[in-house]
Amino acid sequence: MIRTEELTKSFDNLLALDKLNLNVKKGSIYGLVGVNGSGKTTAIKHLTGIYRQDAGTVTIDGESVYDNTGIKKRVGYIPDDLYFFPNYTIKAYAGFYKRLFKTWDDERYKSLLRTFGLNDRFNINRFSKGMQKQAAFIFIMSAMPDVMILDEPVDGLDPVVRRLVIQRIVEDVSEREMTVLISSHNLKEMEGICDSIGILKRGKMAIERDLDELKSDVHKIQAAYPDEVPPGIEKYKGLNIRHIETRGSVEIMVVKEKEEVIRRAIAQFKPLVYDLLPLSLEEIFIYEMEGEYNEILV
Amino acid sequence: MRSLFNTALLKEQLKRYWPIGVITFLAYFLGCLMPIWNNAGSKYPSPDEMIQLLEMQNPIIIISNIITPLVAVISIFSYMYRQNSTGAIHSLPFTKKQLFASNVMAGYLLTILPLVLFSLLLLAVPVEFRRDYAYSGNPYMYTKWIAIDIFPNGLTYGEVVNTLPVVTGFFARTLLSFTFYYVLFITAAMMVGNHIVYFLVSAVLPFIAAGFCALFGVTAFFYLFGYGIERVLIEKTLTFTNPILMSTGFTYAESSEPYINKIDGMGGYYIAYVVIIAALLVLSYGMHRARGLERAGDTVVFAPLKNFFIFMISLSGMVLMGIFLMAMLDSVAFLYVGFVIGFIIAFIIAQMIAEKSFNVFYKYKAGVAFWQLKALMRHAAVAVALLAAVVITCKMDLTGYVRYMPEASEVAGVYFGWSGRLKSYDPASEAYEKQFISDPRIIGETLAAHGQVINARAEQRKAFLNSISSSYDRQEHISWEYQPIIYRLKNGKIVTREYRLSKAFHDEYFSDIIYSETVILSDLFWLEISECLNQIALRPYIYTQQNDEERINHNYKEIMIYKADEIRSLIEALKKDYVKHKQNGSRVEEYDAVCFDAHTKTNECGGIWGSYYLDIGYGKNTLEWLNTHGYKVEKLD
Repeated sequence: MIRTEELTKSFDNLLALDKLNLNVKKGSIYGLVGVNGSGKTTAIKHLTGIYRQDAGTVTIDGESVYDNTGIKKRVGYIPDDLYFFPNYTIKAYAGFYKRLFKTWDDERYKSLLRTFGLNDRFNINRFSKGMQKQAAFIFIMSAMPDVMILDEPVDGLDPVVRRLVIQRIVEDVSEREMTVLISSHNLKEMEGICDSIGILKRGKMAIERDLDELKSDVHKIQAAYPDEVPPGIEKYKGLNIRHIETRGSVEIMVVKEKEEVIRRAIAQFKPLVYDLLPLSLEEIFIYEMEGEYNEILV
Repeated sequence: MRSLFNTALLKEQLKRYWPIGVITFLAYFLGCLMPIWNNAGSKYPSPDEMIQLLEMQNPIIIISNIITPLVAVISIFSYMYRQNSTGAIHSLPFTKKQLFASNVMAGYLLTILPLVLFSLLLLAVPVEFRRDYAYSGNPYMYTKWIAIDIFPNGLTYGEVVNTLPVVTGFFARTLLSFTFYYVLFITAAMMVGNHIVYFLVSAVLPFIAAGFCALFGVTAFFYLFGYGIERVLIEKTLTFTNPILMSTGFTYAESSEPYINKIDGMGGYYIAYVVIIAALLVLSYGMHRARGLERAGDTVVFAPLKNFFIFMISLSGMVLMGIFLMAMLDSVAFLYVGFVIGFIIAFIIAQMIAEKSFNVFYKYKAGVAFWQLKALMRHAAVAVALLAAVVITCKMDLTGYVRYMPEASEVAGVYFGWSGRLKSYDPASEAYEKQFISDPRIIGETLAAHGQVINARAEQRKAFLNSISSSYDRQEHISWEYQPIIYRLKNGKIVTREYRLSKAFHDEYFSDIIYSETVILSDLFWLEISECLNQIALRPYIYTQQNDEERINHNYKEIMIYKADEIRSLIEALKKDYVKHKQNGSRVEEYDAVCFDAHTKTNECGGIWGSYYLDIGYGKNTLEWLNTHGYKVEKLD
């Protein structure tokens, strides 16, 4: 549904996106994560047709996004840094969206207003950041887009509203097969709703997998040995170890490998205890990003 | 086919910015229409406001020509100058073409709808041409000279001024002017990335062509030291690139020059404006498409333009500082010192504007900002090359411009100019022909004096340097005069030169020529076409001296002469008095003696039109003529 191939963008001498390949399946929720400056917002601005790529392609349903009204009419976008026309009420802005998007649903608009408890006669620019986010969400959801692209959508929202927003998105995905791409630093929330995850690293796609598959592929292992930990990382030749540390006779590792392969590799050293611990998305992200923030993590 | 406009956006922008149109209309209504309507209903209505308005001379129309498009453009396109607003707008479902076209159209409608409505209302109340000093028996009344093009046959008493064709003409010319500025400001908006620079560039763009002329003209002027100042070229460029200056008569146009209220023969200029407007619009659209949205907030969004912007500011600073130091310190050496200092200071200021920061020396290395130094050197190299080209070209006279003088056998006539210009006549007309002096003696003397100017270049250089000196003592000793010379060659070509000469030199070589009767009367050539004159109004006045103070008393009745035979004989008396007055340096000859202003009025005839004014000073011969023909100089009641 949403696809970038070899997407490249530079700002002066800074390479912001380096041959980025991204693929979002129809009717799925895709989480785009990465450290600050990894290129998430730049990628999103290409997906919404704001930036023109230096090289590569950006398509939605096989059609190029840039300067394509047909595609843009199907895309709803909520940026992190919101903008509304000065001195516009929610009602006036809704009128503008209604004229722009033929798919606009008045009933849904009214229902969302009630749900979020916003008065549509109020000036949006006088709202708090959270309320502005709610207003933006109401406009986009009422436009009934096929694709929704959200940059830090729940940033600034209280937990109740956050849950409401996520609930509405999930409903639309399941009922209308809406495709959603979310960029957020709130990985716990992302873990709860995303079908697949893309981790950006210095403008490149480091990992792009279904979330379940990703979680089943990355494991945290604790192995306790009777005397001391067998020395050297070389002993695990063939394992994709993302992190390793030793605490006395206990060895802790994060390994990107199938469970069976890991078990076989460790069994040869006959540990007393062997534990396979579940890894959260946040932990996977942190281990993947090790090296980006060496000083902080150390 | 996709629509060119996005109606939702167009409507939204009109909805958002309607006050621009309403305020503009209110300004027209309160500032223009109300006084006219008020006056039309008065006991003694005067058509002056209406005529002034139809000539595009009304200050509100003039100001709104600039302000309304300037404000409309910045309002409509201000979203481009912030990252979040640019992103929000460009993510919405319209193409770049639709976005540009809809925004341009919205701003244009806000600009011109008030003008349309205003023009329609101008027709609502007919304003009749009436003057409280109507002269019975003569159908021709004075109008200001500028209105002649709009009312080519003059206006008769009681005639309606604001007819449909006249108002339509006003509307069309104003529309052209509005559209030009509107599109020019759009071009500025597309180049830049923030509001402040938009206003800066908008202020500079209307003058950029004239600025280039001035910059290189003035630079050349310094190296030519007073020779061949192209003031006329600068003025022409300034006028042609600014319809509002054309309409206000800021510069005096020759027949071949643009003048927006001049209808005859202006078709080419109107078409040129339309072509320029279209070209600017295409250029703006190209820039709109090409500008990277990530550049929102930058000073100039296109890298080459940014360098050009820095270079032009540096170059201007260089020239200004050079002139300033040379004038202050009375030394040519300081011209060059000023060039260096001015360039560096202006370069740093330009960098600050471009980088939007005072801290432009952030890349220090061993105490020296190498990064800036390298950029400075690059820009300075271009400036030095340009300067060197101008200096070499001028000093060595590579173009032959300085030394060029036509051969006596080539010259059909000379003219000493009306501020160095020819008058505004059709080159095919009798009047155009008559303004040149064809007397071989005058031509020969002029060429001889011109030759002296060319040979005395070193002397004039000194005179020039002294004339621009800030030192009072030196200015006192050497004063200077401008002397234009215009040749009309037998092949029809016009050669114009203008020199800045020391007064002593001027007196020695030019006084005899320009104060000769032939040359003085050449200014009154239109009196020779006496059949075209239909009235002469003589306005007597008297100079008096009271307690060492000079006073002028205008308290006399105007004397009107209509009869053709009287006009012919009066002209001879006027000419005699005029020559005497001029030869006397236009000074007061006698106190308590009757002097005259003469206003002559012609129909469109022989290529001349309108009213001409001449101050004949002490009018001994004129007074005699009046007495002989039964007219009296009488005090007003």
